[in-house]
Amino acid sequence: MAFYILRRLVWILPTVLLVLVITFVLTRMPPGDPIYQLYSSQDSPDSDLTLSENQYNMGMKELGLDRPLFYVEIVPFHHPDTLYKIPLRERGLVHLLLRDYRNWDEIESFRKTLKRYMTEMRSQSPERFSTIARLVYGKPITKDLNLAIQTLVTDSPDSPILQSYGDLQNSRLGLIRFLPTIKWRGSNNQFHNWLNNLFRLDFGISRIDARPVATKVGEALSWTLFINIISILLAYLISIPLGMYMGWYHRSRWLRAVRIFLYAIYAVPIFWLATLLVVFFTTSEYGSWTNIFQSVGIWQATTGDSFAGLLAQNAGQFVIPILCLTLSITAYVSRQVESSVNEEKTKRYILQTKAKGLGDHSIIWKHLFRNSSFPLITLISGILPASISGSLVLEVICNIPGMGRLLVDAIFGQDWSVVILVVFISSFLTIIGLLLSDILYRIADPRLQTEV
Amino acid sequence: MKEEQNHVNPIFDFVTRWLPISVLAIFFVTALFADFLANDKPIYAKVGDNTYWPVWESIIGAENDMSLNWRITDPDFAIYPMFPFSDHSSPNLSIRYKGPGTTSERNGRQFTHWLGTDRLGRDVAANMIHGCRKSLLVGFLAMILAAVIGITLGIVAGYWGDHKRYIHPMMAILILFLTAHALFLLINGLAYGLPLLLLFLVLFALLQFTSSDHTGRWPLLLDSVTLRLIEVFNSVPGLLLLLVVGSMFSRPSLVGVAVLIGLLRWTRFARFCRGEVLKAKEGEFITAAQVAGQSDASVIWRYLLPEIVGPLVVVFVFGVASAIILESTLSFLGIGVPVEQITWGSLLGQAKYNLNAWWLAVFPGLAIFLLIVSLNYFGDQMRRKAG
Repeated sequence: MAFYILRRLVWILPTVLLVLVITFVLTRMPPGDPIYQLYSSQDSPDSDLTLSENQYNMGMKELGLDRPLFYVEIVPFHHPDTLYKIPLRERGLVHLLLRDYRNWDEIESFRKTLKRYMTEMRSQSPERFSTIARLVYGKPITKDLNLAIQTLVTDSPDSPILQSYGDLQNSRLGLIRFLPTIKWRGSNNQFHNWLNNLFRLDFGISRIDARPVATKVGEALSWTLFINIISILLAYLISIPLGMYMGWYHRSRWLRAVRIFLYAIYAVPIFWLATLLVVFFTTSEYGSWTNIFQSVGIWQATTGDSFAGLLAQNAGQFVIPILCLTLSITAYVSRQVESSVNEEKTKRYILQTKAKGLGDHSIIWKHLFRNSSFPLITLISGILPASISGSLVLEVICNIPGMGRLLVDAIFGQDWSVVILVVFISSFLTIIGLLLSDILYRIADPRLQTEV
Repeated sequence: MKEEQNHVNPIFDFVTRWLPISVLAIFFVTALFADFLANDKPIYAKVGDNTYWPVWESIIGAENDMSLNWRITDPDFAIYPMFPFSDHSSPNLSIRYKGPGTTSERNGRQFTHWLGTDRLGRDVAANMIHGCRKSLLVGFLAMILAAVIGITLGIVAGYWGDHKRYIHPMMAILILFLTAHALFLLINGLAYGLPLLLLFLVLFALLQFTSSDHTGRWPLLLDSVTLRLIEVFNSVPGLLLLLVVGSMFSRPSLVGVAVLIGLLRWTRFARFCRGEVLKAKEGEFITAAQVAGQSDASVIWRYLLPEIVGPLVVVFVFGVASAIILESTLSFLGIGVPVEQITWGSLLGQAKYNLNAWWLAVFPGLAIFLLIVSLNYFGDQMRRKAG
C-alpha cells in the first residue's frame, strides 16, 4: 500500500508541473500593459504612451519583466540575444520589423532615429508626437507597417526617418527567420523568479485594495471549503440510501416519482435554481409566506471578524447555496448508485442471499452496499471540479465572500494576481482530491491490493 | 416480462417516447427560423402600390440604401412576425422591466411584450428566440471541435497503445524542437507560430516518420501521453479556466467561447473513444482486416470508426448539453461573452438586479432547462438503444 501511494505521488509530479506551467503562461497573458497597470489604477487606452522611458524601465525591473521568459528558449535565428531587455511596449514594433527586415543592426539604428525624432517632437508638436509614439509603442493606426511608416514619412519629409528607413529597406535579409536556435538563459529568468515567489508564498499584493493576495485568497478559501465540504457530505448521506432503495425497489411508485424529480434536478442549471430561490423566496413580494430565506449576503464589516464568528452570525445565508449544491450533487450521485445497484443485484451472490431467506435490509446494507459503493469513491474525481465550479457561481448569486465572488470581482477589477492564485489553488485542490480518491479506492477494495 | 410490458400506460409511453424529441425539434426549428419568428420588420408589407418582403430581404442581404426603414415606416398593410422585436433592437429605457403581456407603441401600432422586457427595455421573448440559435450554435460548435480532438487522440491511444509505433531518436528530437520553436513564436505573439505549430503537429500526427520496427528506435508512448493529458485537463476546474481565459480575450465573442469549451471538453471523447477502441480491437473482424493486408488508416476508417460511432453520438449529445450550460453560466456572470450579445444566460443574469422582475428569472431558465432535459433524455434513449 505504501508503495502504491508513493508511486501515485511520483506520478502526480508531471501533472503538478504542467499545471504550474499553464498557470505561469496565464500570468503572462492578461490584456493591457502590466507596467502601466502598476502605476495607475484605472485604464485608459492611450495614456500609457506618456509614461517616460526611465519610469517604464523601472517598472519592468520591479515586475521582473526585464528577464528572459524561461531557462531555455528556442528563438528564430535572426532574433537578437537580448530581446528581453527591450521595453515591453516597444516589442510590438520590434517584432514587426524583425518579421519584415530581419537585419537587427539596421533595425536598431532605425528605432534609434525614430525615438530621437519622437523626443524632439514631444515638445514641438504634440500631434506628430502622438503619431510617432503610437508607431514606436506598437499601436500603429493601420496594421500595415509599411503604410504606417510611409504616412509618417510623408507627414514630415524633412525628418531623418526617410534616410534611415531607406537604409533599412535596402538591407533586408533573406528568409532565414524560420531557422530556430537554442539559447540557454540560466536561472535568472521569469519562470524561475515566479516559482521562487510561489515557494516563499509571496503572491504579490492585490491591485484593488493593496492587501496581500495570499491573505485575501486564504479568507475566501475557508468559505468555499465550508460550503463544498458540507454539501458533498450531505449529498452523500442523502444519495447513498436513496440510490440503494431506488435500485432495489425498482417499481415503487414513490421512488419512481423521486427518480423523475432527480432527473429533472440533474438538468437544472445550478444558477437557475439559485436565482429562482433568491428571486421568489427572499422577499415578501410574491405573498406573505415567501420570505423564507435571508439573503443579503455576507460583507466583512471589520477585518477583525473571525471566520467562526461571521459563520455563527450569518448561518442563515448558507441555506440557499448549500441546498442548491447538495441537490445538484445528490441528483448525480444517486443516479450512479442506482445504476450500480441495478448491475449488482442480478449477480449470483444476491440470489444466494435471497435463497438464504435474508430480509431486504440485510441484503441491501450487508451485501449489496459494499459491492456497489466502489464507484462512489471514484465519483469524487468528477464531483470535486463540478462542485467547486458550482459553488463559484452560487457565491456570486448569494454574495458569499468565497473564491467565486473574489474571482469575479478580481476579473472585473483586472486584479490578475488574485485571479491566477484562485486558479492555482482550485487546481491544486482538485489534484489532491483525485489523489485521495485513488488511494481510498485501493483501501476500500481489497481485491486491488494484491495486484500492483 | 411480457405481462409487465402490457401494463404500460399507452399515453405515458407516447409522452416519454415523443415529447422530448418534439421539444428538441421545436428548439431546432426556432433556431433555424428565428428571423421569421422574432423581428421588428414585417414579414410582408404593403406601402402604397408596392409590396415588400422585408425579413426575407434582410436575410438574403438584398437590403440597400433605398430600402425602407421599417422602424419608422408605417405600412398600409403588414403581417408582422409573432414577436415583432429584434434581438438587436436598440434599448428603450422608457419600457424597462415591463411585465409579461404589457404593450408598447411603435409607428402608431401596439405591440405586446408576451414575456416582458429586460432592464434596457428589450423584448424578452424575441431575445430568447434568438438566444436559442446562439445556445445551439455554441453547443454544437464546441462539441464538434471537442469530438475532432478527442476522437483523434482516443483512437491513436487505443489503437496503437504504447509500444506499437517507434520513431528514430533524431527525428523525435527534431519534431520536439520544431514544435517548441513554434510554441515560442506563438507565446511571443508572432503570428506565424500558429500555422507552423499546426504544420508540425499534422506532420507528427501523420506518423510519416514512424515505423513498427523497434531496432534502435524510441517507442512512441501514445497511450501514456494521452492519458496524462486527460488527467491534466481534468484537474483544472473547467469553468474556472474558461472564466479566466475568457476574461483575457481582447475581443470577446461567442465563437471564441465555443472554441474554448471545445478545447477543454475533448477529454470525455478521448477517454470514451480509447475504451471503445480497446474493446473493438479484440474483435475478429479487425484482425481479419489486418491480416488481409489493409493499412492501419483503412482499418480505422472503414472498420473501427463505424463500430464505435453509435456510442460516440451519445457522448456528443450529453456534451452539447454541458457546453450549453457552460456558455450560459459564462453569460450569466457576464464574463467572456460580448455585452451586446444577449443570450439565455445574460437574460437570466439580469434577474439579480431587480428581484421584482420574476419573468427574467423564470423564462430564460426554463428554456435552458427544457433544452438540457430533452437533450439528456434523448441521449439516454440513444444509449439504451445502443447498448
